[in-house]
Amino acid sequence: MNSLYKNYIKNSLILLGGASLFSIFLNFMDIMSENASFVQGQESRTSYLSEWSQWAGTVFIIIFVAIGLNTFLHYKNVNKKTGIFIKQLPVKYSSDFLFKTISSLIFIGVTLTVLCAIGWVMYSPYFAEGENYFKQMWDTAYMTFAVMVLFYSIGLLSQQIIGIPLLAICAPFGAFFGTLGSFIGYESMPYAIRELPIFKIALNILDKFFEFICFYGKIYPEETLFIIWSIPLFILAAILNSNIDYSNMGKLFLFRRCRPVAYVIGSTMFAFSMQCVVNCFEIRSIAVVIISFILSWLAGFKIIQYFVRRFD
Amino acid sequence: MIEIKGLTKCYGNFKAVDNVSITVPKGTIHGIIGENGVGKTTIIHCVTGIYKPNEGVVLIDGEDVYDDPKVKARIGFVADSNSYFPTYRVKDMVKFYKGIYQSFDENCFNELNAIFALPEDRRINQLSKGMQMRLALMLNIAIRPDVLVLDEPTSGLDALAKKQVTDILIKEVAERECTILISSHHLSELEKLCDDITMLQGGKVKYQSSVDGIKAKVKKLQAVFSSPVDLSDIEGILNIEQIGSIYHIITDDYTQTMERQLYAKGADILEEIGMSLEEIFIYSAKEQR
Repeated sequence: MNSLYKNYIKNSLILLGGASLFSIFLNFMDIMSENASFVQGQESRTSYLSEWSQWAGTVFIIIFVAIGLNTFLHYKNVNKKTGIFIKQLPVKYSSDFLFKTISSLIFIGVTLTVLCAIGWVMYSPYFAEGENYFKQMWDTAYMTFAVMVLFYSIGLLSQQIIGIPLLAICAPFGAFFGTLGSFIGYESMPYAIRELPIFKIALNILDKFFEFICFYGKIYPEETLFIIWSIPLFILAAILNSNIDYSNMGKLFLFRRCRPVAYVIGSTMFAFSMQCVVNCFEIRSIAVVIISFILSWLAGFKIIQYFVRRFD
Repeated sequence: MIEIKGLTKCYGNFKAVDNVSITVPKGTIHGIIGENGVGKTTIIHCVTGIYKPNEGVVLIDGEDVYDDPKVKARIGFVADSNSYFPTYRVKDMVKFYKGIYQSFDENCFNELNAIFALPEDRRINQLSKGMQMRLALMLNIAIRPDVLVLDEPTSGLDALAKKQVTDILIKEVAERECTILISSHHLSELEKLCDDITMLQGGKVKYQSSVDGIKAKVKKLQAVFSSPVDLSDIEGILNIEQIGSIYHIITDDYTQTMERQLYAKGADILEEIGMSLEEIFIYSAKEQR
């Protein structure tokens, strides 16, 4: 492992340490009040576990932000001025991918250990009573792990496509909220429109797609599904990573062909999402929906165009 | 040996470097000169494997440099602005370089630091521009490179440091047969240092020759005419400056034909005046504009 990777690991560990200390601090504050309640016999075991899950969620967010920040800092070094210095070094960038993946997964593993340890210490009075709360705590931690792996794979894929690190980190969230907005927007549309053949065909295709990727009919827990989904994303990211032209680093799209995809999908998601707003008005004729959809699509196009011109 | 063959590099639709070919034999120093934005740094970034050429190839001893760590490990690169990790100390950078370059010679670094006297405990962001440049030079010479690429290496250095750098570079070539490619605006230094020069204009090669070769090609003539004359119809003239009856004519195509034409126009006296590389550069740039 060369110095560049050591540098990345050092930053990872610093962030991990910071995030862990912060989570321990939060848990410490909480345990003080929890212990007081326990002594007074006012808290149920279920609510303790519920509290623990909330803290696990908090720590998950903190760690996710830490990973994002670390990757951002790493890419910042591969970018612009310092990037010239980094890019001159005799380091093959393709292996950079493997390194980041492995180190981040180790990072997550350590985080989980910290989470479990904190949980175990916190709830040891119940654990000592003989009930297997540890199993439930582990389930929560495993779910956290699975979600993080999935988010990480999406984030990594975004980083292979988008040359602006901060935007790449935001991309999975953008995609998530865009998809959510599209579904809600679609549900907001009048029944007559949703019954149009074009939507029926599109939904049928989507349904088949999800049926395929979600292994409908097969019994898999959600956590396993998340990890299974992340595998092709990691593979795709690895393939893209080995073909990156790092000369384009700092531009919006590392792969030019992603540009039309971003325009079409982004504008369409925006147009669907805006139907939630249109739904607030009383007039819900088909003409209004179609016109508002087209106008929203064009507005979405213009917004994306602004960002592309601003950063590319 | 550095071989740049038909190098073309575009940024979007803008062609920064257009079909440039340069060969730098082992153990020689080659200078790249040209106006700002003419493509010098782009060529250097292609030579150091930072940029991928759109067309053409950059070979170091016959091997393509882009994304090849083995080849890159043999290249030392001092950029015009070396943005090392700002919070690192000088000694941390030495450790970092030792981890990256197997050939890093700490003794060599210490010897160089005995000359440049950089405080090893100081952080990079606390170093002045000149000190950062010294650090970059020391680090990149200490890796014992076969090829040393320098982009404005004396930028920000005081006169003494410039002299020290020049001496070190000459020593590197003399003792280790290091191949050096330099881009600089300090043409008087390049004139003393370089074996060969490439002058760029609009992303293309304008002149490429030894320093003496370029001087032999581009000439300044001092001609005295008894009455005002129009010399615009004579081909090969880059620039004319008139002070009374004395005309200073800059040409990159001084032949007997031109000499005859000037005498035919009524020149009483015609003599060649020596030009520095800087003057050649200035007149070439003027012609371009």
